[in-house]
Amino acid sequence: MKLHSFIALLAVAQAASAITLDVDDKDSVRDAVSRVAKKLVALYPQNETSFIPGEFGLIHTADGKNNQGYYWWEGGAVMGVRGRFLSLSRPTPLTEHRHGSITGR
Amino acid sequence: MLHQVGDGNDFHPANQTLALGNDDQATWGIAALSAAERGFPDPPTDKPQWIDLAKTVFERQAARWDEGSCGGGLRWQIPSTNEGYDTKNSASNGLFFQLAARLARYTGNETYAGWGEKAYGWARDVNLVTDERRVYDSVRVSGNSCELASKLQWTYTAGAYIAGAANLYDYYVCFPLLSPPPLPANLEP
Repeated sequence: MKLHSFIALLAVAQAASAITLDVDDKDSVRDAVSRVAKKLVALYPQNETSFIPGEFGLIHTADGKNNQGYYWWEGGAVMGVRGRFLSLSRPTPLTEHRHGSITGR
Repeated sequence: MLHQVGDGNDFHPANQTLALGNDDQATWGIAALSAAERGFPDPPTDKPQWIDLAKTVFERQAARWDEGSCGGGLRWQIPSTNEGYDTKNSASNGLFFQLAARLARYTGNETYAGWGEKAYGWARDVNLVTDERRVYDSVRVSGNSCELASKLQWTYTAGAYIAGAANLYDYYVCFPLLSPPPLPANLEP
């Protein structure tokens, strides 16, 4: 795992402007996470012919000419956090499971 | 996510085999675990289920736990020919700890909790997690010696340990309805 590449990916996702975040303000958190989520979705090349599910292919920078590689694990990181994001942003939250709810204890 | 599981249903697809680190594989295993925890509908029954994917990744990694050097731990890289096979890093070991802790919390199975304790205890023993709870990058295996290779501190790896600790704490302390197991000494806050 190369962490600087993930930071680079986030930097690409955030492009020109930083995202301000007030962790004590729910709306601010929601706004920040949805902006990052939109950028990540925009980077996911699902409309390209070379698309492979779960892979980001080549990441294009804001100037449109770069094609930075990404690391395969970054796709996993995005999938994991995307699932959590979707479950939190649904109108009706999905039930969170842990062993109490599974075994009925 | 299913497209990346590989023939062994373990997020070790053939096209990643040469480059795969334990941390890379764990990231995908944790993604599947998130889907299970959050109650996402499972794939069709002829496909692997979310929790099974996470368990399989855990089993593959537990089998690679290496007592032969540094008294345990996971090596960074899986293929022995890769640069980085000689290090044991906090990304691989922190994510393995987190996977064990979250599986313990999700399944209630004490075997996972035991592995979580073992993984955290090992990180403390080799000082990847320091007395001040700094999380360093890696130790290097060289013959019988085991020395700190990099003191770089990543937010990501500290986060991996924090998330694992929170889940294991929940397993031991916040869910003591029937017979609460005692909090192990090495996990005292």
